[in-house]
Amino acid sequence: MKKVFIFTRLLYLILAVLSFYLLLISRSGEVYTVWQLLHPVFMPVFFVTTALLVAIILSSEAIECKLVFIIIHSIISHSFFAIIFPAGYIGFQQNALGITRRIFDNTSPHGWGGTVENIVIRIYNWFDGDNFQSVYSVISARIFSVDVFWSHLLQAPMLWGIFIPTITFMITKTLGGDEKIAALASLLGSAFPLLIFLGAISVPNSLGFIFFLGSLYFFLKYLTSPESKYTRLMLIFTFASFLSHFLTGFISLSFLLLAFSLKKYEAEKAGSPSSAKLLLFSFFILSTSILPFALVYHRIFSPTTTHFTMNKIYEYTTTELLGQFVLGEYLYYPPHVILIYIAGPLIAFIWVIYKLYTTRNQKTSSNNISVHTLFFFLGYLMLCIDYRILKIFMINVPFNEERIWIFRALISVPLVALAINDLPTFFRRTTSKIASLKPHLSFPTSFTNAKKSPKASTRPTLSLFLMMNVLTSVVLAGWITVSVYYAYPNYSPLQTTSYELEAVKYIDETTNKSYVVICDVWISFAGQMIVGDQNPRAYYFSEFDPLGVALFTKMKDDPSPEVMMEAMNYTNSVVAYFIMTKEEEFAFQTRLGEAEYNHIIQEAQQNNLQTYKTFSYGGEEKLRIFCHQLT
Amino acid sequence: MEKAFRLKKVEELIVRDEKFLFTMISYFMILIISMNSIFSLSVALGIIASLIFFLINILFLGHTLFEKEIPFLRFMLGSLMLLLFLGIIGWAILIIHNLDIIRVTIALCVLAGLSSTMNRLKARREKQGPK
Repeated sequence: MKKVFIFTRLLYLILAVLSFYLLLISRSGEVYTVWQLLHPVFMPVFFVTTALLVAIILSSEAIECKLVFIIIHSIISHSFFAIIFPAGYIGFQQNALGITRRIFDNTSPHGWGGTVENIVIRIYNWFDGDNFQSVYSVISARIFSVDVFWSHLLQAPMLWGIFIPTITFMITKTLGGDEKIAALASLLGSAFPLLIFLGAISVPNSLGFIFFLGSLYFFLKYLTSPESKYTRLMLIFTFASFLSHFLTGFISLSFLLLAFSLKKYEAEKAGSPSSAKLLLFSFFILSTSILPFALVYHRIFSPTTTHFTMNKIYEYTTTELLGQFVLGEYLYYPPHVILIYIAGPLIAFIWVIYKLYTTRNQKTSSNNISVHTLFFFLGYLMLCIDYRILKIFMINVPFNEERIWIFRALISVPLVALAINDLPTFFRRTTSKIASLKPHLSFPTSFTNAKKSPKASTRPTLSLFLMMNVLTSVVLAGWITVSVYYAYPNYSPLQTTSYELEAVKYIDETTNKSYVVICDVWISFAGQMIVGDQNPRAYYFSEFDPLGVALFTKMKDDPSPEVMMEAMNYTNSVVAYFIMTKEEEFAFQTRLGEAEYNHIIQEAQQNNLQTYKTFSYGGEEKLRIFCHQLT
Repeated sequence: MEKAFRLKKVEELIVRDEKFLFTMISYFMILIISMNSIFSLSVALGIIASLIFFLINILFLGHTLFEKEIPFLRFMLGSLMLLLFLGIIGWAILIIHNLDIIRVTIALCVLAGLSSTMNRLKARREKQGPK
């Protein structure tokens, strides 16, 4: 092995370990955003690590080594929430952990919602993404003998970090990229802020995207390989994608239809080109309409009210409508952030159009590539149309429409790498047109075969090649670092704190009767993580439950045993707790301010409510639990 | 080079699975995992036993489905398949009953049986040669 490779491997590993260490020492019990307490040296180290990794990818290092390094890098990029925050990113992933906890504790037989009386709803619940995601968290918790809290929090960063780069590598290779470019593609997933964010939170949708990308790889293999195993594999991955989340399931199904129709189109286009084109067009329309119609008919199983409407068009001004049509939600972002979010997909779109144009008449060896390119183009177009239908012509969509962009980002990653590979060739062609000005200027034809240039190449070519490699490393590392910076929110409410978790654990350990907790939505998340969602023995109101909100408001206004009795009657509990947390004045203050906190304590003491326990952080009281039980 | 050659030998030895030796080891690891979950709760033992279990079954699946790929990619794609099968088997068992320690053990046994059978069928097809 070359000495230089030993040195770069060691250096990279040292930098990766240092990055993990810096993340670990940034962990805090009370924090708003990852940037608030992140060690100041981390981002420079991350940038250098990434630049070194790009340089390794562009070198002739063994492909296994490159992929292992990319996986390590990917895990680091997706671990910010899990490492810095005491309980991951606040919100839905904690709710998902609440459901997982119930399955882990065996208090939810037949899966979440698996015991409801209505058989149709029960079957619908079986296919709920929470059940499928819980399987992974629960099985890994049992086999590794760890608490489900950890297996759940680390699930997305680990699985995403390992499999998204691997599948992207395979897809890029199938699209015609060589190993170097495929490795570059597997790193470029970190240049898309949406992908970073979703790979950092353990929600069913994250898992769904992994299986969606897996299905995409097998669609490509199915299109050009005669082996029947790829048909079975793409079907099974589509099924897993559907089990993970209905959104990824329906998009996988749309891509499946596209793949079927494209294969038929390829087989029939020589015989009857017009009917083949018509078939392809019909299937494209069908594929595009699957998601909107699935959302509308979702109301059969779930109380959603998604429907088509023209109202939004009338509500927007012409400028707003155009802005929404072109940029969607990004319309309201600052220009530089828009650029970071759309740079990758835009490059991919331009490249795919360029490739379709340049390969339109090629029929022999590059036929596979043009089929794949056409498949990607149709998929990309389908996602763009679906997004606009959901954004402009539908209301009450049960998720943020921008989630469609994540599919677009996933299919853009390999295309961006291929575009980067073609960049020198493109420049060469462009410069050759002005060759009369500088006849000695000679670019390498691509990053991959530049080394194979004959020795006759002039010295300027070599220095240009070196300069381009260094420049590429720096530019790509900069792009990835900036994307990671914008992927993690810069403004957030106070995350679940260590003392909130301690309080919830303390109550559960010290109470052997059934109890109910009156609290705000933030404590409710902490409660769900530790005792499970809607646990009848240890009841925390769900964040959507208006009764829970009403009881908390009543306790804030008049902290009395009567309100706690009301909660106990509702849940048939024997003990009731009231938890409140104090937060310093801050732009995103979500807990109680100091004055209100002290006022409630005073009122509660006047009403003879017993303090059960107080919790402090940084030498200051931060949380107080009041208790009342049936006598 | 020599190290890679040795690793390839180990892989070949495992996927040959003579007298079901590695299938048996895989089942033995499930036994250790289950005992560990029920009694001792040692994280280290759980991780070691699980890694051996995963390694054997990943190699089985990788060899069965992605033989033409280079060893590392075969391993990674085998892991992806293992993840997929584990999820679907676990999900089916969860829907039928629940995912307590016994049912997780059943899920792992089904997974081990499935990957071993697929590996066997592949080996048999290879022996019979192309039709």
